[in-house]
Amino acid sequence: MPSLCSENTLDTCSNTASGLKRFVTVETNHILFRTLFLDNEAIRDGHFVFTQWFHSRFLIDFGRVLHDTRSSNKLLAKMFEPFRGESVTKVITPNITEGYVLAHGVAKKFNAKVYRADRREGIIYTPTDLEISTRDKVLLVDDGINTGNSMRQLLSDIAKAGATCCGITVCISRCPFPLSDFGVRVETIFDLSTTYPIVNTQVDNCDQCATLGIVAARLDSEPLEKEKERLMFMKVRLKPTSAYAEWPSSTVD
Amino acid sequence: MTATLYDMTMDLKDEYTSLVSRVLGEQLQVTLYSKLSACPSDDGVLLLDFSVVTSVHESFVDEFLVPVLKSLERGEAGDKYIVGVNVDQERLNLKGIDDLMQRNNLLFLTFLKDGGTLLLGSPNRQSIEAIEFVHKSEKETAAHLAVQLNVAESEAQSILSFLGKHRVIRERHAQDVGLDFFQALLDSSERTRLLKHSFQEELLERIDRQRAIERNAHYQLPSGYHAEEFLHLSRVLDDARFSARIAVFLADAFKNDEIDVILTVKTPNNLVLAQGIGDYLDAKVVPAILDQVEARLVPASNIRLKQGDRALILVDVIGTGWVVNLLLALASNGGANVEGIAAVVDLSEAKVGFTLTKTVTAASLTLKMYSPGECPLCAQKIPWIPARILPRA
Repeated sequence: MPSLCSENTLDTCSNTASGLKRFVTVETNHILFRTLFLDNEAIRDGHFVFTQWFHSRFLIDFGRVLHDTRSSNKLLAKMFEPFRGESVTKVITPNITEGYVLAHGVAKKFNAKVYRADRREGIIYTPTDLEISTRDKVLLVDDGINTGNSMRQLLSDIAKAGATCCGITVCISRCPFPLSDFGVRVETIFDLSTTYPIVNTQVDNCDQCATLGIVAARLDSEPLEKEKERLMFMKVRLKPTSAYAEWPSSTVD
Repeated sequence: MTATLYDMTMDLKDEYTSLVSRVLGEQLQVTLYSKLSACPSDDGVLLLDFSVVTSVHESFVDEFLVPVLKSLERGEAGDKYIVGVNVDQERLNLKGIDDLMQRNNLLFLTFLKDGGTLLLGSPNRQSIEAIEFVHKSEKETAAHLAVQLNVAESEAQSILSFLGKHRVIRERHAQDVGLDFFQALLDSSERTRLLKHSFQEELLERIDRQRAIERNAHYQLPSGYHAEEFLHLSRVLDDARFSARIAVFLADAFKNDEIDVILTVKTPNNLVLAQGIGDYLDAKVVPAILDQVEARLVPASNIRLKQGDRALILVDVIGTGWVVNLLLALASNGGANVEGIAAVVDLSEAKVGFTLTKTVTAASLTLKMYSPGECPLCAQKIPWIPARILPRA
């Protein structure tokens, strides 16, 4: 499995103070990555298909990282730090499990409210009960940016509402596009776009597809044929019609 | 006399449960002065709620409590008092605060979580006994105190005036009409309301305010029951600080049980609560998802339970106990010992008895739910919607 830092990290960091600082940051992040992700066996090897044409050999299972509650505290401090001075009023997350937990941790430090985007048939909806006003300062939080689709959609929805978006803070970035494309400040702890890359199959060939044949496992083990159907379906965006959400709002049994 | 409960952590944006920095102390001092001056009546007690505070540093107290108490002693804020409540003696470093109070010749009265009284900066034994006596019996006079302490009445009077000077009892009333110690605070029903039931009441109030109960619905629950009213607890847990308080409240009940793992269902509410509780109890979180083949739960992300783990079962809402039973089965399959069950809201009207295990709930509610075959909505032929409450594998 490839390591987080390239072998010539030492060479690229010069002897200047800023270079040393950068080197120390990279090194501490390297240790943190090893303890949180590699020791917890959070990185799965295989063939995984993300939304649209994005394939990868690796899947980062955040559930295994947050299994140890202490690791989330280590991550939260680093996710909060770049936005310390901002007066964030609302925190939105496109994720409903691990990203939601991290969003809660960040929102606790800002004393902000947390909203989770609704997801029906694989399409992200900005929360229906979210009343964004023009005075609101919104921060987007997630565990990782894979393709960035959900983030882009949330950003456009926030812009439509006229609110200010302070930025995006995520733990991992594996986005095949440059992060400056988002148009807002994006802060990540670990940039894994070169070590654990996601391949855009429109541009590059996916090695796994070639070697394994197209038997890809989706995040929630949805077969690839269904993925294609869903992509057809995605062209027509449905408006949420009922109070029935895909993810439960409580476990009333 | 009015008593106001004030959660200190509300106004501190930076850190939440640990009050350690000098800057935070300064910040809170300003807020507290404005709170005191905004108090409508001339006399009032401000109860500082320590229930979610996990640590207090001396430097914080130095910048926050000492200046406020000093100005109160000088009578700058009228006839007002500050008292700490819900203090956890084991968790907070009270020795350091005690020393600081003694050095500054101040007294700070605190009520402990389990009901006792603690006088910080206490100069002698007699004052502590006097405070305990006064705290227990609000209608007694200085003469009774003299008998209790076995001293002359004049000496008892001087002890009382000393305590009154340091703003831990009301001196004005101590001399003429009886001790009348923080009448509003000590009136047992009022005090119980403020201290014991504030959290439950706040939770129920928030459920009401956020319109978390959906009425006129018709859901079929996985246990087969039909629900006319459905509780969407996520609307309450959206407030990050309040959900942290719920987690601390639930975790506090299990702090002596040496919990290793928290078994829960992988839904947003439960994950957030489990993280909070796991952080407090230093336990690991095992989220479970529904197995597609059988109606049973399996741990998500290939996490394995260890033999003999001490497990806490966490669900946000107990309805009929169907989910709890699935989690109990998961624990017994994995070889874990279940030490307790924690839930935020109990809808079962205590009908579901998990008598073998300690069950802690933050609040109880009664909602309209019908057993299969007795649903009046089905009789009216209103179509039902299946409530999906569990995540798929």
